[in-house]
Amino acid sequence: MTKLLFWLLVLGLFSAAPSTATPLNDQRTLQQHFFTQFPTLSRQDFANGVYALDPDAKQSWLAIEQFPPYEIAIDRGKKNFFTPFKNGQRYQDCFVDYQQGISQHYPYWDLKTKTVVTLSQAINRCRQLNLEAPLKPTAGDLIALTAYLAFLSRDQPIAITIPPIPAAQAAYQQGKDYYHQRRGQLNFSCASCHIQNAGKRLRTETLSPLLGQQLADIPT
Amino acid sequence: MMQTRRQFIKKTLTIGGAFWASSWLIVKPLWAQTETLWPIGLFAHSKYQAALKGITGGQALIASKDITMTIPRIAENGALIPFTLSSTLEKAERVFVLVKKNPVPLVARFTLSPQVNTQLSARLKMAETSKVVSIVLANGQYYYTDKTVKVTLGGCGG
Amino acid sequence: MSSIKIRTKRQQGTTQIRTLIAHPMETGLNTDNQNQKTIAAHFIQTLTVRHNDKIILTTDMGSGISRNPYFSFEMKGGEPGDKITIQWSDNQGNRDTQDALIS
Repeated sequence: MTKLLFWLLVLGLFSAAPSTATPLNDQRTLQQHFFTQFPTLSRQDFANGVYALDPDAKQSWLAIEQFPPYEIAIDRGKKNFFTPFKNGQRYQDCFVDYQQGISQHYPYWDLKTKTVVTLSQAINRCRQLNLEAPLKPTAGDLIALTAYLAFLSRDQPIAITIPPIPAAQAAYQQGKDYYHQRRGQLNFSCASCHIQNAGKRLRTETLSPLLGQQLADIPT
Repeated sequence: MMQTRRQFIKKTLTIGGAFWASSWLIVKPLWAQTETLWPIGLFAHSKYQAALKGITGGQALIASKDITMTIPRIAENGALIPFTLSSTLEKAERVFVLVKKNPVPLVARFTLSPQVNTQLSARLKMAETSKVVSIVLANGQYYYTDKTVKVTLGGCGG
Repeated sequence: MSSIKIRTKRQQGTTQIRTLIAHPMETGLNTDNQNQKTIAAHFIQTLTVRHNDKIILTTDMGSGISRNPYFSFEMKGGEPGDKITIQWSDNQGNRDTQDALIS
């Protein structure tokens, strides 16, 4: 659960959340921090994560993009997405707007259940509505489905809104606290690397800036 | 399929076609030997020097500027390193790609017919920082070029 | 669904052949996180490329090739409608083959 809230924070920072002072202020402060720190990068460049900063990594990335291995997962996800359930319904009946791309709206605050809902959870809700067993978070089929849906959202800006209600704001705050909590052998927080030291090297890795980080950048 | 050919050759030999069979095998270029098995011996070596000897039979390598290897200086992900090789050496028959410090140094052997250019891409795994060596067999000589690629565990992921 | 994807592109006097193959390329040195057992070696050993049924290139490989292997090759000539066939076989006796026509 904490992890979900964490992602709500990361993604939520870039939303144009109306009339919610705190997340919006945080977003502006962070954007300013990164625009000042990396004056040569355009706002759009940040979407490329570490590849905007590291020419070596960018070269490898572009070479891999020539025929990316993730196409295999996307093909599998696409096939699953259009395969009917036992009751004849399909995923597309749950996600009617899928063609326009939907993953940029996840995670979102669900007003009914008062929880943060990720795309994976939404897929499992769709399955349960159609009397199918939920998929494990680590299941290849679930990962492939999210990969396909994320691919349909390619080049769409993240569009997450945090409603101005205390419970949603608290979830945001919990995620923010998690991001700043120091832990582990090196006593680093997420922020140590991706806010304070973004662009510097940790061993041979360039640290990516928080601004522009997407689900695809989840560290394993 | 190999079996069939062996049996075929055996049969040919027994009926007295020894000269024809052996000359056919010698004359046939590397790329046309379509039914050769995976060279288990070459991939059995865990040490670079032994792997190299398996390839060249001890023949010296010649450094060549006519081989261009494109590979990142620093690997972002040791499990997926894009690799491209091109060469202008005439009559290239084979290309070997080795990662000196991998548990199995020989990564791949390409056997080229005259219908293809020496222009190849692949993606390699690397266990640790190491030299990557590309060898081109052309005109009976082994030419090479090498480059060091830095690999470490990721800062976050490990 | 075939394990082999092929893309061809005609250039000046040559044809670029690219392929992506779904395969785990297990080294035999990894451990399964779930049960701590060693995962058996499982990798493609030989890949052949044919042009109109004639072999033009063979690749013999070990498990040092990345999971879901990608290769690109460059063939001299090549006309629209020519057939490119890619075939692989692995150390566990599996094989697959796929045709593509040059566009």
